Amino acid sequence: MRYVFHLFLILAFFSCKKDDDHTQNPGEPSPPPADVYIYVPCDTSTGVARGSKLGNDWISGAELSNYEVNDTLYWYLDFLTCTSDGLLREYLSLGGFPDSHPLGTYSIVDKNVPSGYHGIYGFSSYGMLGDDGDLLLDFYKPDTTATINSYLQITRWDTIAHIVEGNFHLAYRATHVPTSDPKHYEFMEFSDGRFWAKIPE
Amino acid sequence: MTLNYGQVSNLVSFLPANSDITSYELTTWDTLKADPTALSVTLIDLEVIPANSKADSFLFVFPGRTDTLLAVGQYFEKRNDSTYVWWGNIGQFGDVVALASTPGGRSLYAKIDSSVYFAHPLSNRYNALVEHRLDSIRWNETCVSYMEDGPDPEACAKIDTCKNVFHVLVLVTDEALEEVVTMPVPPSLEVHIPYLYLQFGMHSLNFAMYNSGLVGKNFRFSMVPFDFSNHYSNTSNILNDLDELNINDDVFEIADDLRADAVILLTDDRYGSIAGVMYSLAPYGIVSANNMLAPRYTFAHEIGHWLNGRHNRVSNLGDVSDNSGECNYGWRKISSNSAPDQFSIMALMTDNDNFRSLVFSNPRYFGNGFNANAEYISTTFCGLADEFYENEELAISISGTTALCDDPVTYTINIDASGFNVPGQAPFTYKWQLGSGIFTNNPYSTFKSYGNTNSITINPLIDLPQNSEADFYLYSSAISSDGVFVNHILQLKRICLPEKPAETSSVSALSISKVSICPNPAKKALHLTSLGFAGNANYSIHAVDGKMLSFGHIIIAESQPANIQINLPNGYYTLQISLGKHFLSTPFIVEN
Repeated sequence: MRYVFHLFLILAFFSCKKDDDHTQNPGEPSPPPADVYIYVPCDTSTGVARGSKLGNDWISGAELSNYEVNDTLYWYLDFLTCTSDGLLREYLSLGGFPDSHPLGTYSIVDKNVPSGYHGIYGFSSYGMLGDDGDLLLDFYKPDTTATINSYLQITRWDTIAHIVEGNFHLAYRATHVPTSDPKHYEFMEFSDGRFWAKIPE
Repeated sequence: MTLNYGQVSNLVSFLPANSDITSYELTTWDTLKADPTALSVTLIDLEVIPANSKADSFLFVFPGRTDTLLAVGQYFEKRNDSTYVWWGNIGQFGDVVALASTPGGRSLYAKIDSSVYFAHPLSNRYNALVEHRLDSIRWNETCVSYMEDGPDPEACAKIDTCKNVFHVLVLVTDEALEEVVTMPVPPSLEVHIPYLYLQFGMHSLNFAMYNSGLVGKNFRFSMVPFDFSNHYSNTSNILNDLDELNINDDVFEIADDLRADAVILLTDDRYGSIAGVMYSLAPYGIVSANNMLAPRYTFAHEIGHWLNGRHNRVSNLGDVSDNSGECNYGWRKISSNSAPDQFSIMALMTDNDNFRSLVFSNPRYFGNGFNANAEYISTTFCGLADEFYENEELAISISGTTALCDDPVTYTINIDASGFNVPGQAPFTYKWQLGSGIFTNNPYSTFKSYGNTNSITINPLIDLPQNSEADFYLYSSAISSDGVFVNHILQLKRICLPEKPAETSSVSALSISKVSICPNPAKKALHLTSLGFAGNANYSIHAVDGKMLSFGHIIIAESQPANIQINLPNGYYTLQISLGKHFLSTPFIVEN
């Protein structure tokens, strides 16, 4: 019971702090890493993403795919983590950059239906899953109030080597305040992110 | 050779309807005969295992043992609809017994004090007794046993007192229907029936609850055609689509109008390996219509998540703590050296060899000091918020005897009307379906459909196969004028046959020399010609394991051949014809 009470206090404190200021101000010392779940990459054969998940080292598999809108081809990335048994746990989707001019920096906007991107904005979402990967525990969209804007930067688009590389910073807010687990937070942040992925031939 | 529990799964896995028992006889049974530890036994006094025998008990007498053993029902497994497997505990330390009932016969497997007992339906080495007892296990003790910290009277009370109807809005997309209509349909079923398939898929949820002993708790459904095509994410991201479903104004408006407690979007197989997903924080889910029925039952599985159904403990590759009392049901798999693999409705589907059983309980878990009882789900069911119209919602039941012999029986849908201004108002349209395997993808198991009436009469001599003792299911549904869909299933038992057919055609009065079939091998039709016989005859076509695939009526005349349309995959089959007191059984081959 005491443990539960302490856990509640920790969660309450963390939640309040997040409500007041959920990003770090310049010049301030880095906050201690939050207590989060860290899983393993699902499949790294098509790419890898690395970053910091609320101050914790984080690594995932990466896969590049495309879709068409109004005869224009766009690309997006899926970053997936799994349990050691291969059950899906994190599903981060990021993209919306055009095939015609992929290099550049894309501001991540809160738009759920990616039907109108023109190479300026990108979209992203992040979900935490349970059980066999068929139970959505928490779902996050871009946090438009974060101090550091979310972005996706494509730094290399090599159609000869079939490699894309880039960086990202992603801040999210849960669509429903998580209640199931104190290690699930209302605000989520992936900082210092970088990735590579194969461009499908 | 020593039989182990891994082989138990193999032994019972021969039972699915499309298996080849002859092949099985030549392989597995020969192996068993060579096993010096295997003791053959006979099943006596064991008729078809009742569908609700989960709560029943069986008394066993085995050769070589002086004691009688009472096995307490732990789990009733229903496979492919015509197959029943009952698992029970005997003694301690993993002693177990499994009873199976199929159209081909009954079988038993038991392992007691390291001795293996086995009876095969085609063997004549039978010599033991199994008695089906009417007294059931004691529910109260069961209720107490799953409470980690002792009994919880309040929670236990909910098992019996909470009787709710939850309303699920099912949004049916064109994509879902297109996927369903590509399924194989026998020519005898003119009205197939995407919606009927979907209804069966939805009702599998109620059947899983029924199998789990959750009496008085039910779901009703409203099926509403819905165009989601402009809302799918371009990236086939099921999480984005689920979020869109959650925030979509049109969806909210429909759900609000119908006062739905939960929303499921039925779509196609667009998400690859993900057949469905349910949101834990809001009653929204997406399910592929392709897998609503056996072996995946994805619809029931995802709703099971809404009922807080979880999967395994950490020790069994799950993510629920071993020390937690939160997951006393719905375990997906028990796999250890001392127990065979069994899968509940919440099981992980890893490959096509696995299949879920229509039950929420862990099949037969008896380790780690925990019991796994489906009754626990009753508590979580009661804990769900029935947002609207509790006890005022439309519900139906079927009246009529469940025991069939020769006499026609009338069945009537009784309407438990909705409250004033509650969706589910008259007039109603009705659907009836009679069959042996309504929860599979195999529509050949449907015997007969009935028209739009709230009362039907089943004539066993006409409507049922004449040579099968297997149980049948009478499925009924009512759809209100405002689109509320509720359904019910009654399990019918054939307590006698109108006329026991002879075992082989050689002793039948109607011989193959007097009625011949051609061509053989056949493709799309069988032509029957007769010599000296004429009249209205019933026919049925069976697979090699005895499972009836189709049946109907033909007029046999000497002047012209009678045609039976078939639409079967290549293989060996048996045609059975009954004409008055005459009976014919003859094999034929299909080569397309």
